[in-house]
Amino acid sequence: MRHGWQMSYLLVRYFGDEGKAEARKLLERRADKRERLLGAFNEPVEDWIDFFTFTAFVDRDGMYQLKMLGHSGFAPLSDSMGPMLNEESFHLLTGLSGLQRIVRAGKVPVEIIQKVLNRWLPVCFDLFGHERSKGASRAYLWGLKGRFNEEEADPLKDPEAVNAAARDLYYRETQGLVELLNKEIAEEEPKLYVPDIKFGRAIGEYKDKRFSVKGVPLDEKAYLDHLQQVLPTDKDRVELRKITKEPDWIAAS
Amino acid sequence: MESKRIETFDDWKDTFQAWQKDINYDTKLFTSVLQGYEFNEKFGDPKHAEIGFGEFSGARKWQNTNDIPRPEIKDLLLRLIAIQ
Repeated sequence: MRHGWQMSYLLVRYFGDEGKAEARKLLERRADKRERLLGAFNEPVEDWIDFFTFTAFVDRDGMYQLKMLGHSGFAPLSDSMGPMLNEESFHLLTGLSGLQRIVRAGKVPVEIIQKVLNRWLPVCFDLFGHERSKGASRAYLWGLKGRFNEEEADPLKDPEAVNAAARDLYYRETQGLVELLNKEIAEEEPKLYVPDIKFGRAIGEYKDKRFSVKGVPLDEKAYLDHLQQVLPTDKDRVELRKITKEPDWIAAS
Repeated sequence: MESKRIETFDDWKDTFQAWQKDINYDTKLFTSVLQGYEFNEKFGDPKHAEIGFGEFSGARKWQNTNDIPRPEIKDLLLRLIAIQ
């Protein structure tokens, strides 16, 4: 909520009538009406597993965006990012440690946690935008938004692919985080994985294409059947609500 | 939500408070958990005085939108800030 406050301050302070109108719109767009500009914010958070997954992975995307804007040539924007990154780090810690505690407790079936990851991670991948983007290219070339690893990165060869490069870094980091979760899972249990980058996408090259969580192309019927298998069902939600009412569903630390 | 015109950031804050009521945000619970916390705009120390990449690499960072060399750059900057 404070991040919206900060950005609204910049809009009102520096961007005249247009900025003031945009700052108002930030308050007017409602997630429950699916009006937010970023799809992830329109997705309902239905239970604790959703909450921790959101803070671990959606907020991690937020951290990427903040770091990229931290390189901005507009000083009031780049100077805003330090405090925002500090605040975001608490979200990330809450999310990842929450998921680790859930997995450690061993009460929530790994299969359901996987389904929740399958639901949220494609939304996170979408947040980076189109694979090739003239807008993102201009933002880079005009000095408005850098790369996540700007300070150590090689010179940029293909500015229109800047979104895809950031998403690749995020994807690799996500794989590492899921491996951390897997360390908490008993040997005989199935392990968690990151769904393929092509699965469930609503933006970019794979938008509305039919791929499995392993990246295998499927026809329409097979895809719809697959979604029933790999995304949380009403039955899963009922089971989760039941489990999370038990005292030991999440480890104390 | 009230339709007061926003002229200043204080106007926006009033609209923000109306929005909090509108979404049933529990400010009492919030202040009881985070005692003394107040929403505020915060800025960190500048890391770099110059733009580090792109067409304007090496130029002093823009302190105000009047410093931005072309209107289309300002337009894109506004969009980047407003996308949330």
